[in-house]
Amino acid sequence: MSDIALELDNLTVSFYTKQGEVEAVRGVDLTLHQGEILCIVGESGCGKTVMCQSVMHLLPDYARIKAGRMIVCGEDITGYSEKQMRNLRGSRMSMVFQDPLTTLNPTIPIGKQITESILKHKKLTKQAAKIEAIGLMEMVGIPDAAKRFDLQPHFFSGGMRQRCVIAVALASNPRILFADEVTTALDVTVKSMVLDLLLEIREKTGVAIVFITHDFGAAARIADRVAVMYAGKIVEIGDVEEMFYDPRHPYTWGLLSSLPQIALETGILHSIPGMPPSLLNPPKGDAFASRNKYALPKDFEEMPPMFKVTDTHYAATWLLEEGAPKVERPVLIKRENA
Amino acid sequence: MEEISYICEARELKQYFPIRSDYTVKAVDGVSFGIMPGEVFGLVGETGCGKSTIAKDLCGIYNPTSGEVLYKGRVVSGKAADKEYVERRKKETQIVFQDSAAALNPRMKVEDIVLEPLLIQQGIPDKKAAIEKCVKMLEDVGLGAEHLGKLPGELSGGQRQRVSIARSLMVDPQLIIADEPIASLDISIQAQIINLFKEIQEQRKFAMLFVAHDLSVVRFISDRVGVMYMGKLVETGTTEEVFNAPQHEYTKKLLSSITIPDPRRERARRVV
Repeated sequence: MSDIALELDNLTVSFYTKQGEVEAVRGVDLTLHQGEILCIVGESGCGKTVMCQSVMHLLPDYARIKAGRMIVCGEDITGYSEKQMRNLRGSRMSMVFQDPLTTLNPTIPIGKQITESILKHKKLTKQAAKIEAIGLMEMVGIPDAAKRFDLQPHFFSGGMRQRCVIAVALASNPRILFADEVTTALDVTVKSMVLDLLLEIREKTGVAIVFITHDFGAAARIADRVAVMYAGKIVEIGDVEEMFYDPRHPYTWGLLSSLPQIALETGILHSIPGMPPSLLNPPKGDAFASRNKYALPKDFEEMPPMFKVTDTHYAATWLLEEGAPKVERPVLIKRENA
Repeated sequence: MEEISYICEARELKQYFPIRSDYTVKAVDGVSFGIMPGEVFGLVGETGCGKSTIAKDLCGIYNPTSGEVLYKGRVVSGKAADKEYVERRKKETQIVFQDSAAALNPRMKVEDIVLEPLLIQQGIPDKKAAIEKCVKMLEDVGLGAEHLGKLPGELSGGQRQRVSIARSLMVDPQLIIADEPIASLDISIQAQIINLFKEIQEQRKFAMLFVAHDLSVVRFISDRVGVMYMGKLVETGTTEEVFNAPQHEYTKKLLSSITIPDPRRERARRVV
């Protein structure tokens, strides 16, 4: 098996609405390695979720993949039918959503919901599946799993429910796990436990995780690599340290400096003026240009390509072009013991 | 002496919700604290700890099961309420809610939404002057006259929250109760709204109860902070005291679970 779990090549997805075509994802290139945790950070409506839904073939009817290819573990799944996808979902890749209560069926005991997903993919007797389900529940940190096997979801707290959903997703040993804002609905103390759980699962099973979030703190904690999305495009991608200590795209600067945690150290909370553009008629050039105080005239005219910073770090801004004017980057996070 | 200086105070406040004959939820269980004029009091805690219930008790939406709410030193809750001060609290207190989509009537234009408190409390004898005031207020919160005719559905989340804030400021309140006003907003918009709150609070010097679950936000905006856990206020103090030298175990736990957007520090800390 190759080292690459998922490869997206110029993925372009559009929604066709009454108002017209909404370009939700506009040409995303991405590689996800086996056993890697990639965090995708961005504001709502930037296409993070749509990107994952396209890979899972879970897009609504009015959406269409306009261009590009999706390769999962060496297999091109772009044109797969629903029937072909059913075999892949769960066994090759799984998805965990934001709200665990709507993901789980409230009337069916937790254990049964996990067993269901095991039986779907493995030839096991019910008894053996039950044992495996209890093992999974223990792995995701549910104490007294055997006793709780027959309880309905409402007996569990939010964090516990999210653990159960993760157990369902892991039931058939997927290679890729899409975690869509899994910690957003959780309290801080629970959130950090779920983040630790994801790290632990990666250690144990070697699954690659695409972690969608808008929380930079969570990304700092678990990511190997971070990608920042804006208006349907990846504007910057790099190793976690490069992204936090040496960001190059003005949008990443803006996001980081609007975090209250960073404002506490500098005393000023910066905000990005305006709001994300509508993708109904995306602006020409760099979509961020109109909110960007560092924008160059060229930004309004032409879409910047991904410029290489290091082998792992790329950013789409004309500021990195040779001969571009030097700009003073706002002070962000200082690297300790660098 | 000290008691008079609070604009709004809770004394041994209890709010129980009977669910069944044998089961009562003690949402707020004996909480005492006060908000001084012109200060921002941040209330933090996890889901279900009673933060919002306290906010609703203080502005009179709920009647406390026992204990008292005081407004400017007079009791305004229960049977012993001072009628005059109940009215004054109504007039001088405003609320900003979390979900701006639910807080604004979807069929009313921004103009009518912002003018409504004025209409109810003072009446509008001079429509032109009122609209001028309305535009001025919209400009103060970062919107403009072009938004007057819009419906809430045509605005983004951040803009709707700005309309909510403009509405609450129309009657020059002395106390604003903000119940998770930034929780449902994106990072860049969240920063805009926090800055807006900070700015207008510094200009107008109203007192504010700022309820939030995001500790960093509370730390940034508050003068004093109260930490709640399971219906009880476990710790209060100035922002610096609470964040730099937490006394209660729960506060320590809460503080240690804040994620920091700094990979090296975040990873070094994870050994817990």
